[in-house]
Amino acid sequence: MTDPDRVIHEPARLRIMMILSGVDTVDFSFLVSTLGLTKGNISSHMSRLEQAGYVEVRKSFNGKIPHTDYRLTAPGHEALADYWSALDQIRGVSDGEKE
Amino acid sequence: MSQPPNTENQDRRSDRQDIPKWARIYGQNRSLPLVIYSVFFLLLSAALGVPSYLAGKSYQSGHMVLFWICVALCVLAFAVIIYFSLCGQKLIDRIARHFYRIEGEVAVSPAKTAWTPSAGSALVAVVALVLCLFGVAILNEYGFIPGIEGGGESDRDTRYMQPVSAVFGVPILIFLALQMRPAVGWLALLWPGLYGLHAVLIVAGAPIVFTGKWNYLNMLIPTAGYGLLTGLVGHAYSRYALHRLKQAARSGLVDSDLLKESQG
Repeated sequence: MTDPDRVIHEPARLRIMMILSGVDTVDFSFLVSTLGLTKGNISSHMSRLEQAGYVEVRKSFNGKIPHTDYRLTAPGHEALADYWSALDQIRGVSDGEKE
Repeated sequence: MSQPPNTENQDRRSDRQDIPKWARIYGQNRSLPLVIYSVFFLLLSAALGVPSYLAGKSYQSGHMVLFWICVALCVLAFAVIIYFSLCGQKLIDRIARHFYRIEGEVAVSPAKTAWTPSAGSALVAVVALVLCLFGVAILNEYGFIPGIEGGGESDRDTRYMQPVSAVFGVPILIFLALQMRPAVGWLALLWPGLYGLHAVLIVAGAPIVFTGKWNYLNMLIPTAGYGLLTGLVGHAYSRYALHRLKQAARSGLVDSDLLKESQG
């Protein structure tokens, strides 16, 4: 049985990955307002996802205000799909034990 | 009563689809730029239409001071229209970004399908739409578009302008909506739908034709009015989608809990 990806498994990071899987790009403010987490918290999760190569970060400026966009990379999409299948396998075992 | 395992799995699969689904719907229906554009269009139409009407009335009644004030206002409104045509998109983007500053930015990628025409085709379609509307106005001006039988001169002018414009306007608006998929949602089709319905109702003789000094509303309502309505409906739907997204994203994930349970 495959172990689920530890990077994705953290609930906040999983939510971030799920949001990113539905759209093309989101910015930092959107993640903060949608998830209701602190900026520091989101920032550390995004760094972790970026290090894993699951998220691409694009920094720019809106006038003088810094702006950060995030996009799920192809390995990120793949890792999320693998995560769900790993979880389905665990669920299958769990449901089998209950029966 | 416990659910059978298969049903439970199915429920969890739908849970995990909720977040991407509502994020996507929210991104597709962020229609404030369309609302702002329609409001600008309505305001500029009023800024040009009201002084023009008053200029005509004041000239007829001999109030030349009022006439020249109205002419000056018309020139000013025209200058604003030119400025808006050149710099409008940037201005709309800036205003929309201001309204969305708290909730942030989301983008859904444009369509990358085999049938997608070259870049800029949406702009070409917009230009075609504007040119066709001008064409209808010119055809109408020279009496090529039929009017109300027995109606006054001003009534005769605009009755069938909207249905004639719908013949090309509806396909172009549908093309635009499809061209921008999936960046915009299916609600974008509401505008051509209402435009077409309005045309059908006029041809069928429904009493929705404005006459006399309200003549200009026959074109203004289906163009900017339905555009504004579409934008407002999209905006309302995006509020609902954001609410559902926050609800789903902030609630505990069942799958994670299950994993911890199975490992514990």
